[in-house]
Amino acid sequence: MDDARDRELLGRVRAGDPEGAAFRELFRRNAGVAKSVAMRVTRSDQLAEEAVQEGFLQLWRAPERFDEARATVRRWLLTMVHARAVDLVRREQAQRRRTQEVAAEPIVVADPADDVVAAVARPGEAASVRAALAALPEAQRQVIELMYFRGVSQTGVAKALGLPLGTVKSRALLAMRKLRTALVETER
Amino acid sequence: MRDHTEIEELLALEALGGLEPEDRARLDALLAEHGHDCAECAELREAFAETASMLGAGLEPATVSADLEDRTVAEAMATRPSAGDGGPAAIAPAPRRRTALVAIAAAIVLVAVGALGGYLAAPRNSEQPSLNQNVRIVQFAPSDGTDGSMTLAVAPDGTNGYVFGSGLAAPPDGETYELWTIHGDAPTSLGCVVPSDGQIVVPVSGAFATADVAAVTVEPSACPGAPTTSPVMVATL
Repeated sequence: MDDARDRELLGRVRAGDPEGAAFRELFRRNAGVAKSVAMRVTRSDQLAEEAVQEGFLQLWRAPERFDEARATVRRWLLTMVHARAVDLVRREQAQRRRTQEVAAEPIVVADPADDVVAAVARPGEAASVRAALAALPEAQRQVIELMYFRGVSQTGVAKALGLPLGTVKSRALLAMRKLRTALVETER
Repeated sequence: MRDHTEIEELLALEALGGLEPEDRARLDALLAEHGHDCAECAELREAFAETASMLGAGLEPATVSADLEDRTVAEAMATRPSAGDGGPAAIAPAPRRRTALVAIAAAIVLVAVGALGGYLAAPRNSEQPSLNQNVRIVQFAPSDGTDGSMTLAVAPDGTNGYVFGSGLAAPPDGETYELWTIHGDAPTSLGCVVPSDGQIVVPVSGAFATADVAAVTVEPSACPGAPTTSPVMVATL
């Protein structure tokens, strides 16, 4: 199993990993997906790789933060990389530009799974994500797409979609509840 | 039973990366109010984080620059704790110290929650506090490589407030975060704090109305009277 190997490597990092060999293998196994997530948010190759690097260094500095009982090593890593990517775009004040771009674009999410294609290594997970996104009402899917995959803040989403802030919040919550049920609880 | 509706809404936004700085402050305040041992808060936060991370896990891998792997590994090796520390695992607080931190944090939260009513909450009812419109919320900007976020909430009197933090890295053993206000080139210490599970809630008093910036540095645990390192977080006042 992919995660079993990742956990083994993380264990070696926790134990010291004197040559960095386990850390390097973790990088090779997960950097591509991590960059894909960061690219969606930052729309910048340079910023995406910065987010990936910082996410991996966060793992290196505090490997004990991984909760063995939850998630997978990859998902934990992606959480850190995504958060870092969001920080980077906001710090660079790209948010306003991207919000304006987004606001100028028609919001068409004909197939919400267009960008969520089957990862070779984890086809079952990719299919589950695709199905869960497809099952969302379009209005909720738009919020997820803009907020998670484009890194737009709730205020930016409200402007882009011409919605009151409260509506954006409630749609995000409803979508996350449904995704949680579809993705997390069915996995357990 | 406490109402978790607003916390759930904010935690969903947090997992998606959609929080604004003022939402972050509001979430931190609510989490502090609910207490360090709020099991439902922890469950919601973990479940939403896990859900959001699954969205990314389904993406097709992107091509990574040829040298990124080497640069990242080299950076990791360069930031390894000093020899004899036994590698990255040595960064983690010892169990006894962790327990002490949790106890200290819990005490801080209890004090903070009690005082929050005076400065931050203008409750519509006992379970639905809202931020006082006159409370000034200032978000700290982290320097490159600094994890987490910090927010300063200043009371209308301009001298009392709270600093909230989340997602913060534990400082190395023997070191602490120190909070400052800086007026011109004169820093004034507001005290030292060590995060517990990446979070802090700490009451502060300072001349926020006249200071130029608030800043956070990593200092020896003796908590020096003048900064010895560059700020890892800065907030313009």
